[in-house]
Amino acid sequence: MQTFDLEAQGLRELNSTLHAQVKETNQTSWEVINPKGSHAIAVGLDAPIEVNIKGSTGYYCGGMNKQATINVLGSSHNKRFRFSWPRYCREYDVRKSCD
Amino acid sequence: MLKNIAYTLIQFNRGSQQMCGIVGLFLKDKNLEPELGMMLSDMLVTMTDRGPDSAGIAIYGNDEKSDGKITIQSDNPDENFKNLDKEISATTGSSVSLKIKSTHAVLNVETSSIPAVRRAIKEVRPNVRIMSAGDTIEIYKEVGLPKDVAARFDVSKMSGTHGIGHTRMATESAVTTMGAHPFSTGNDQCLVHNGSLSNHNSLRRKLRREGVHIETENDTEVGAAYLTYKMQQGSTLGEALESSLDDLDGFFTFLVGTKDGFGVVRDPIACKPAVMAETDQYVAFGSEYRALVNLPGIEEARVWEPEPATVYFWTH
Repeated sequence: MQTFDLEAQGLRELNSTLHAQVKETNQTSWEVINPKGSHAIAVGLDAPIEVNIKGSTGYYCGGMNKQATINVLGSSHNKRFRFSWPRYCREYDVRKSCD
Repeated sequence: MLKNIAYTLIQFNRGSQQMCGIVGLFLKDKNLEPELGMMLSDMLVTMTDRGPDSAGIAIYGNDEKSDGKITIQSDNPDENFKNLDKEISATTGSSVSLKIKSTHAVLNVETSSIPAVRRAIKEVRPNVRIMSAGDTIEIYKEVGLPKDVAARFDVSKMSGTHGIGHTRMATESAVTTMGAHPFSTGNDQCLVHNGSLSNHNSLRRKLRREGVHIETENDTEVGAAYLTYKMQQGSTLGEALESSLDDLDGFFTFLVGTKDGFGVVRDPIACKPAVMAETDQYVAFGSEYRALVNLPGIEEARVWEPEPATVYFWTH
């Protein structure tokens, strides 16, 4: 498993590292520590990898995802629309378990 | 009608990811009081992305020597604050001391002489604006980036029991010092707001008819004046916040401070974001979780999103 310290290594570094993973990668399990509510964590992923984020995230986490499995072990500011219109922009806690 | 619908849609589309940041910290543990300003300014600066045009804080000090305080502001502090304490003392006959902080100054007065001193300020310095008055409250707000505003007033050195802060992205009125939050409309009361009220014009007229003094054309000041009015009529902070859900229309997450209390309420759709955290040491509020991440013991704190149309408040 690969561990990535978001506070130390930065958001751009995280996302470009994850983007660099291709279909045949053998680095299939990733752990992100110290997310500290940052926005846009693990966006635009297109590889069959698993990303476990240990802590709470901000907006857009896991946005534009194609093939990855992304778990947030905390809360997220991601929007979930209850109705298609009007677009009520209330935010929900997304609490996902580890397993 | 169409204009109203279009306006509502614009508001929805702007979404909750922009337009103002709110932070608040209510301390239960006295040992943290010297660090209140430090923690609050850190939270405020984290919310810069949400509101880069102006910033402000209200801080409830714990200085036991002080009796009453009036915070004043001037665009021309060198001229306007010079000898102001002496002139007010001469006019009112009560003892007044003045402490200047950049464009703001705090007048230390006896609580009983606050109304007289307010009148004297208007008389001897008509251009000086009164930011707040009360036993412990001080309000500092200016146009500019939150980090610059916090540095200008040395917020990180302030100590106190509780405080609230705001970073503004203006929508309903101009980017000016007086349009910045927090707003104070009663002694030791203040309010910050994320959102926009749609019935502020009619409510302002109603409140003015009841004799409530409202300084600006800003929607948030109407919200603050409404709560002050309700509390003058005998409501508690909690009851005033409950009735705001019936009488105010629009989007709002309010954070309210009183001398010994701290309250939160969101509109029934809860369009504007809010996260709260509570430990044995403090209650904290942030527009985003990011604002809370550096607080002590946040990993073990109870963290939750306040429910729509539900009043939360804490008192010392």
